[in-house]
Amino acid sequence: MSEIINMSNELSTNAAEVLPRFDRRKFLALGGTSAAFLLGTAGVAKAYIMLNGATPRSQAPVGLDPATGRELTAEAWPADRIYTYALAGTDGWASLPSSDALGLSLGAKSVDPYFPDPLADAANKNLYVFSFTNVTGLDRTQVAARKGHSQFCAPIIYSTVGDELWITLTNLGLQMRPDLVDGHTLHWHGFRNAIPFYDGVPESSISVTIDHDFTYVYRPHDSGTYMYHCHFEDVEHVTMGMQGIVFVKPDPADRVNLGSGLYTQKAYGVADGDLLGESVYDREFSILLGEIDTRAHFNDAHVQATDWSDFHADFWTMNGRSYPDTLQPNGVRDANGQLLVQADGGIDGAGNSVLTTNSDPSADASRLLSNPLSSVVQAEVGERILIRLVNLGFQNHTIQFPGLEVDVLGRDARFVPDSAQRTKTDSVQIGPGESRDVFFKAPLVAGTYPFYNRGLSQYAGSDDGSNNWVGGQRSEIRVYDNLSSQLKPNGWAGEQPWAGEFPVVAKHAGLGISVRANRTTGNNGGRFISGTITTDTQAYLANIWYVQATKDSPLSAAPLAGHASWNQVPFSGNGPYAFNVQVASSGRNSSNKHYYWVLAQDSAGVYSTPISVQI
Amino acid sequence: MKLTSKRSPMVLVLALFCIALATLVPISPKTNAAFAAESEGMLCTNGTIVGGYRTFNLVATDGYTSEPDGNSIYDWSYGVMGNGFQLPGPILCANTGEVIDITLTNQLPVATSIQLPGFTNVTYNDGISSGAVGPVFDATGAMISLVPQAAPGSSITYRFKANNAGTYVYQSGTDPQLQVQMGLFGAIVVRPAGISVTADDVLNIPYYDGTASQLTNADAGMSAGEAATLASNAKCAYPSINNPAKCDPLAIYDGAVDGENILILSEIDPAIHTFMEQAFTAGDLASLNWNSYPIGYEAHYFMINGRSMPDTLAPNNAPWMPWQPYGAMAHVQPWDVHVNALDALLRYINVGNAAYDFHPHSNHEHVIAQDGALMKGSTAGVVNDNTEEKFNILINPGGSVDATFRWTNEESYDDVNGFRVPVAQPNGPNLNQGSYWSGSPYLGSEGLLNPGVLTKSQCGEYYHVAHNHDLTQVTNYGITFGGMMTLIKVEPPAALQTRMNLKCN
Repeated sequence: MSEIINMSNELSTNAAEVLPRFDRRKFLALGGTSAAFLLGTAGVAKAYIMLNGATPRSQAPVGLDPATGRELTAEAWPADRIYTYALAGTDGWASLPSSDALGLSLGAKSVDPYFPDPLADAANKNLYVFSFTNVTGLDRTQVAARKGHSQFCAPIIYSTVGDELWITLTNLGLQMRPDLVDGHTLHWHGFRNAIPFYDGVPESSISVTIDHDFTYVYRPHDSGTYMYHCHFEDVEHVTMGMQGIVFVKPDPADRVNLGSGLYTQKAYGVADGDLLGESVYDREFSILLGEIDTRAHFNDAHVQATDWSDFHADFWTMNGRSYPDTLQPNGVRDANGQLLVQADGGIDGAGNSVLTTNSDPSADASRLLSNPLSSVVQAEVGERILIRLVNLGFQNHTIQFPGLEVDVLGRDARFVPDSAQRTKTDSVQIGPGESRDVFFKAPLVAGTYPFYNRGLSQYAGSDDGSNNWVGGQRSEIRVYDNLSSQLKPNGWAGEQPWAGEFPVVAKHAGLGISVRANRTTGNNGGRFISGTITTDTQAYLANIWYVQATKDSPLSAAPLAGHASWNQVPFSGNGPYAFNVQVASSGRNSSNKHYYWVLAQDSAGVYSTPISVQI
Repeated sequence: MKLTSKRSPMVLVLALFCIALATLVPISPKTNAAFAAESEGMLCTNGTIVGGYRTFNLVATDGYTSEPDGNSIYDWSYGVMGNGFQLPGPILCANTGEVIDITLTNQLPVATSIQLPGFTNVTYNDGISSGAVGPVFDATGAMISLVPQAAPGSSITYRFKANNAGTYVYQSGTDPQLQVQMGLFGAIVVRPAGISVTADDVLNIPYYDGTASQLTNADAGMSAGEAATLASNAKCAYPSINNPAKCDPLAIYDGAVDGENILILSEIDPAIHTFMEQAFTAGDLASLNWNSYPIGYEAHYFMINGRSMPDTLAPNNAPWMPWQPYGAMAHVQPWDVHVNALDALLRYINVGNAAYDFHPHSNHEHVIAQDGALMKGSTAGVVNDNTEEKFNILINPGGSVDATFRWTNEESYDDVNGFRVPVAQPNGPNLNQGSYWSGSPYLGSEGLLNPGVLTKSQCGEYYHVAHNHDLTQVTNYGITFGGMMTLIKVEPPAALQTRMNLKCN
């Protein structure tokens, strides 16, 4: 008990300490218009303050190490790069598309007696679940009130290379099952060089008991798409809903400044192997694939045991929803932590999604309030779209994108280089526990493009047999001629993040300028870097810049272009442009490889992402 | 003797029946595998060199294996002649360029065989006929085996050359739907002959810490002397694509006894095994085939090297599992460019019916080879590198994957000389503690544990699980923390063991 009291005391002091801290870097990531909007709107800025400050955890290490009796000290981390989240583990009810709620042609038929569960709290909900509920920014009383209120699946979390992420997990216990004293843990699946303390396997580490909490700390060094889930009685807690997506963005130094406060967004950095800036995108979406055996959910609600080796899914989900619910908008959370649904009002003249919050959680229209994540992918014609796919079900799936050419540039949080003989495809295989980063260019014709699980038997089907997609993994890409910026991952156009959801990301103006270089020929008499420069605007090109790095520190951050140490080779022409530039090679001998940083600059002064070549 | 299971009366009946059946089928007495010394890492059966051929004498026979929940399973498998039954079949190790003879003596009541996927120009000799292996048809033209087989009580020899290094499956080619499920499978490991790893090779191993650097160990500060020391302990899994006399830099691994590991992944539908046990007991030879099995297939046990978690953690030749001789727990020490810069090698084989997606906690593994082929190609001297770091290793049915693993204390967490974890460990009553938890967040350190928590920590080591991510298969008949799972044991480096006065066994 002393643990909780200590935490509460810490909260009051730390909130004051952190309150003024407004992350400048994340602020700069916003588009120019968005930034202006933020500056002038106290309500949105408050989101950041809540996010960074008022989480139920201590900013500084507390207590003594029970092993040594010494005070704990941590490696100093820049305070403005520490981000906090808070999750609560609890149970509750969620919704699958039943014919009771949606009618015979859009809802699945009952699975007697398992689905809809007769114990459900209201006609609108039908599935007993466990969940990680986002309680970031809530106070202790508000957090405690979330017991029995689920969020299915778990919230999307992200971090950035160089950031430190503190995630506090509170175990609220199970409202429906006071007989169970299950712990909960947070397992960041795929986190490199994890220590057991933060790996969340209860047998080889610690787990959080009911009414207590624990803060997991991560310093991600590697960009990519990961997942997180509870590892306590893993098969049960995962399939019951304690599963979510976590991804890591590359070091902000990897972004390209497009001027006017605009930056490109990239999924992988130079340090991850994306030397050519191929992982840039305009909008990003995250889709978690899951499977539901309604018998198991029923058994947990009705104090029955399940033979997990007899698992047979009868619903398949994207972000905790089954088609056609996948097409509904994201939910929001109010100041008390109550999840609310939004209604889809189409796209207005400025390209913004019109979303109306239904503030009555008991209304029929609030059926999906416990399933707050949409799977709709929006795009403006010709935009580059990233979909982060994660599979935390138990089956191997293939997601098909008919009519699109898809690049899989990330597999299991590793960038796939061009040298690995990539091929374009329209279907993406993903096994249980795997992740894929899928990139494509949105079609040039506005319209609706479905994507779905090609395992065509993996759909429940509608009650009347008229719609065989019901109850499965199907959603759609909606392409518009004019769409405003995406302001948060998985967000619809213009949709703001809600307090405590996560930081905001920016839309950039286009792909900008990029350079690729080959290893060169030549020797002491003359070394050349050759390659091509492309732009998506066909602008005239102005300069190739390069700088020689030492042999021992090729991976240090690229110096700023325009600095005195950079060499400038001017030329002009239309992109794409092939170049072959002789470079200075001081201090070299014939056996000594050196590294060069190379970037291109267009006539508007915009620089490409620097790339590193070895010659 | 692990015969104290609920099936033991059946074993007695079976034993009596075997005696009665002895005139029909020459079943050998079920001798325990010789009680060899316990060990860690991949345990090779090396065979003998006879007339220039590497020769293995195997038997196909039946026996019982145990599951952690107390169930006892009737199986068919391959064993070493003279040692009787074991599951899986022995891990046959050979070198490239050798000609291999495998003589199989069939002590089962049904015909059986050995199919050798991945090897070419396999020939056979069963004393009556000989030639290239191919399907066997009965008088009506129906195929009865994928490869020439041995009738009950008779023998057959398969001969082939090990041309390419790699990890291979061998399995029954006769009624494989049933016989592979019953346990007739094993592994062949071919190592490249004539390659020694030099200090220069070790200096040029790519240094990777999750980034896509082009650095080598030399760039990361390894000295020539350190490289020489490491090279003396290094082994090679695959030759270089462009220079077969050298090892591929990604295929150099720690040649220490537990630096090379194998994980043969399989599953069991216990109802099939019971059905066959009863048919055999009743002398109903006609029912000993897949077509006679009347129920839909559903596996409930999921194994690594014939054992389910937590039996996978026990050492090789653990005496309480005499017929499941292979452990599956990998041991590593933290990667260190100066003293421990060689990766562990893990050879995965899937003999199940669908792909398994195996998830090692704590770090990616570097997948370097699939189905016995290094994942690199060369066009006009330019190497296409298709190896990849993965946090889930997908192994297709009948296939193999070779991957390397390292773990680095990237944040220098250490409670004496390094950095502390940024949050305090809450005091004991506020936590559940696992029995593989040392009580301390730090490697090589131990801490206070709650009353009643019995830790398995010997020296403050870390345990990380590694398991199939179809979590329904990480169960023993549905019970969590079982099945196709093992642990990776990260031991403190020797210096830390000395400092803390904590010795790892």
